[in-house]
Amino acid sequence: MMSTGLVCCWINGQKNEGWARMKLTRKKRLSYTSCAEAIVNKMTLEEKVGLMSGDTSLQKITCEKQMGVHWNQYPYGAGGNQRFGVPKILFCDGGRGVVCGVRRATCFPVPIMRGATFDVKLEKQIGHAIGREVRAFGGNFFGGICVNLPYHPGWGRCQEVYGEDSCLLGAMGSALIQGVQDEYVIACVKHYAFNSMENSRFKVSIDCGVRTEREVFLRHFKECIDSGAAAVMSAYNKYRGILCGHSEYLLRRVLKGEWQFDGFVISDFFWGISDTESAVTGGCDVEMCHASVYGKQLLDAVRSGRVDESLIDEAAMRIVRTMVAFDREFSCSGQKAGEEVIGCRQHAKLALRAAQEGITLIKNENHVLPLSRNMKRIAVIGKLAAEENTGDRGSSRVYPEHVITPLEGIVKKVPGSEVVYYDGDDPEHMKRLAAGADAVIFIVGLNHRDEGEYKQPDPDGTRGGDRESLRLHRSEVEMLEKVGDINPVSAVVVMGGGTVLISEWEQKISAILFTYYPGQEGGTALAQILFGEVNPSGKLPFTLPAEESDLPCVDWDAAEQHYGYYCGYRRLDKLGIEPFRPFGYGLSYTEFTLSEPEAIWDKGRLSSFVTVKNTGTAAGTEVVQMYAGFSRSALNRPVKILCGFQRVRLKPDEEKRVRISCPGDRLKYYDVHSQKFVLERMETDVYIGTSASEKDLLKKTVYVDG
Amino acid sequence: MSERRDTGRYESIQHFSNFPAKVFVTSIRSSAYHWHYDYELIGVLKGRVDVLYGIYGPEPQPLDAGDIILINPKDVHGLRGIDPDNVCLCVQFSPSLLEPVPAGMNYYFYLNSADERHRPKLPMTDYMHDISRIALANRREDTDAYLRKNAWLYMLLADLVKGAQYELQSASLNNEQDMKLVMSISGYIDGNLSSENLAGSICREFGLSEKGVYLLLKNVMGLTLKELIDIARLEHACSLLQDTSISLQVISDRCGYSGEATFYRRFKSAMGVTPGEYRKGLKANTIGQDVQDYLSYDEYGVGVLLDQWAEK
Repeated sequence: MMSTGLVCCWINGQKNEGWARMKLTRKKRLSYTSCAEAIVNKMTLEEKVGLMSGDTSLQKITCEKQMGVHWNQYPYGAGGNQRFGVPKILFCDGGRGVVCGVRRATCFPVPIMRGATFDVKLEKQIGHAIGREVRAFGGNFFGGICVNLPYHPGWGRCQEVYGEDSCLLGAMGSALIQGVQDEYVIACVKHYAFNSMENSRFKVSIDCGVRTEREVFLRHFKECIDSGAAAVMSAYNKYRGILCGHSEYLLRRVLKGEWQFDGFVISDFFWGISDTESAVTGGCDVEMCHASVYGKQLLDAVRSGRVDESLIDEAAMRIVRTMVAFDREFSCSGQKAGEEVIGCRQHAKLALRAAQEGITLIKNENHVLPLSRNMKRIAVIGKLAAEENTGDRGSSRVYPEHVITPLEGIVKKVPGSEVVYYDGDDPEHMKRLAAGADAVIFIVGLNHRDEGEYKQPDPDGTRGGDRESLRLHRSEVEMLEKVGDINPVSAVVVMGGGTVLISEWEQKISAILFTYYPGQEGGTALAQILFGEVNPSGKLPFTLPAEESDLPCVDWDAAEQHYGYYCGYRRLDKLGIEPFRPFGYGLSYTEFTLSEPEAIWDKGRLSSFVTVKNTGTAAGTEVVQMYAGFSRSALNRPVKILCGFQRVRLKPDEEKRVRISCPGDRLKYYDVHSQKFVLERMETDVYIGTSASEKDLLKKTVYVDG
Repeated sequence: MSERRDTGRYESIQHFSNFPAKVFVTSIRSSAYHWHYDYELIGVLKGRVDVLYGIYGPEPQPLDAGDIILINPKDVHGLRGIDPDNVCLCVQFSPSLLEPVPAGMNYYFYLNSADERHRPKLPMTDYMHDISRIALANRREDTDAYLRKNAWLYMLLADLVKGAQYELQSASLNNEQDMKLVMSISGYIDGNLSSENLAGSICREFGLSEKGVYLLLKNVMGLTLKELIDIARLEHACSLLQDTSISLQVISDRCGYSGEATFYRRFKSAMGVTPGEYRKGLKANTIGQDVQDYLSYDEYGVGVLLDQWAEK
């Protein structure tokens, strides 16, 4: 019980609670202020501007690319000063691992799948692994903490974030930051802010109400800052007409002012800032990863009096303080950064665990799954089965030594069975194959051609980017409609970085799993779950609506886009629309019963308790979720929001009393007049259960007062 | 190059060390059921042959000039020359040429121009073109010929993977054992064609139930026992018909047909000609024995045929 409570403190990101073990806290870094000031005071203007400028040109990167060197194959440098021993920023991109190297780094499941694990402890361990690999590649800066909330699941880069909910994004982002920074690697949170559209990212201007801004899109960024993130990357897009990299409001007033961020801000690469004066005034500290707007331009601007040198001093101080703090603490730690950690067995095991915990079972009629391991003939249908499908091919692409495909995983798991793979081109062939097999596993969904970072077109003309339709390819839908019900023992495995609507074919299929992009060990995890060696425990980190029209409208090519207050499950809740599957939903091979819920408000914290019992026959894990509801609010507030969660592992017949707790801040709304977060004193709904659907929740109320 | 072992009817295919495939042109009269570890493409350059291959059903697959069929490794199959003066091009290559195969599995192709159900994505003539090119290069001794035939062989492999319908199959554990058993049964049938209640004696001889025999044959060859016995009778009849000193009555008896009328009917329906007409047709052709009952074909005219199919 006690340990459960402690975990809750972390996931809810309370400032100094639970984070005490972090080696490079904000407090620790601030102790380097006078040291940094002393260095900056002795620096020439050129040296200070040098700290703020990247040193890898776009031309160099393009040239290298032609020679077969991939994006960020080695850490990209920026800033640094030899005279004063200030290390360069050595930037490593990522998200599902570290981008550097060729066939070496560990490729974890994409963040959206790690979101489906709801496992903050595991995410922190992954952070450690990533931090160690960054150091081993010679880097000191990890640019892969992406916590943009998808306003619409068609966003091509949903795969890079933990899901549609602010609490989940904040908790998982914080855990990753903590793990990475415990290895003395700077964790950079991105893309600040509102970067939830891909195709139009260089031109779109986002607009939203103040409450939407604070409660929906910035809340988890603040949580990441409170959790100690030492760097922030600004977004490409504009906010209310101003480039995020130039936004004095976002960078100076909110981030560095209100949130007391002590680290430094870097621009998104090459196109994140466009005007010297606006960028410096706005609060962008480093231009990545070349020196086009900064460098000589910045020097000239200061010399000609267009930019005040005090702004340069401030930026230089932030950079020096952060870089020196990490460098010195790393040296003092005596930690090694040997290359043997890159792609090591221990990291592969973490990648496997994340895939095992993330795979989400959303339908299992007649207990079709798990499959018997003694089947004679198993048909595996669909091109993606034999593909190394680890996610998009943009800047977060990781190059692992191996990727276990779904097909490989299945073949290895059932050596006594005959496994037959067919790509699925011809329906008649498929029908014959399906009819003659003991089980049929369809592998369908998306890959880098369908979604992801918008990039140079492939030879077939596909460019990744946002998705116009949230459904499967037409050919796959036809395949499932024609062949799905030929064999009653059929399972569909859906791959992809986010919401895939399945209502048109799901009736034909008994079992459906989401495997997202499950990383280098994904095929093994999938086979373990299909054949019952691992009990699924993943939960949807997004809502699965029945229809696309249940979602807000977004024009992916827009120059201007408004983000409304309601999106995701908050929107469907408010409109009273029943989703096909709710946020937080996921089945297990066993059954769990929840009873005796309790909710208390004490000393500014909301806590709830519930007894969870495994009433089935297999050991398994349930993710218990706590939501707070505002049905008595005088304001326009959501029906409910996620406030905390806890994974509980139980043997058959075992029961545990689970406590989930969150700080009162989580219940606050942003008051436009006082410009502060305010708690509503009222009878508040507390839901505790196994998904965001009221059918899966037990309800209590509690009086919340200051 | 090629050797036939009567026991087990496993055909070993050895390749010349400088070329990873075996290429030959031959006239096919009849070949008993057999299997090998290699893939085999048979293209008909002239005339007509029937291929007995269970994956396409129990009926013989009728291949005319320009038709092509692929036999997968370890699949039991048989051949029967319908036109005695048929000319076929065979290309046999090892599965290792296709490595690495995803998930360490094996390609299992469906390529048969006599079958409407498995149309490849590329025109069927492309495959005929590829194998003809291989054979043409194989006939030359210029210094570039070796490279050229390798090039065309790899073109063929690429066209197969790109255009033919295929499955990937994991190696199953008991397949080879089953195959050996089926070959023994097939051999037993050949040796006991005239015996009464052949089906019953097979069950006794191999210690299998009727259902066991059925499942085994269906699984390995896609045939029933009755179909297998019928085919064996026909094969034996064809071979006895070569010897004009044996009367049709005797052939009918030796092959286990219940009477001469049945023999005529069955033979005519399978071969399109009566036993007598078949015998006359054979006489018109010179016959030389070669391995696996493929009749070595006079080189005359082969080049012309190959050129013709390589152009199309």
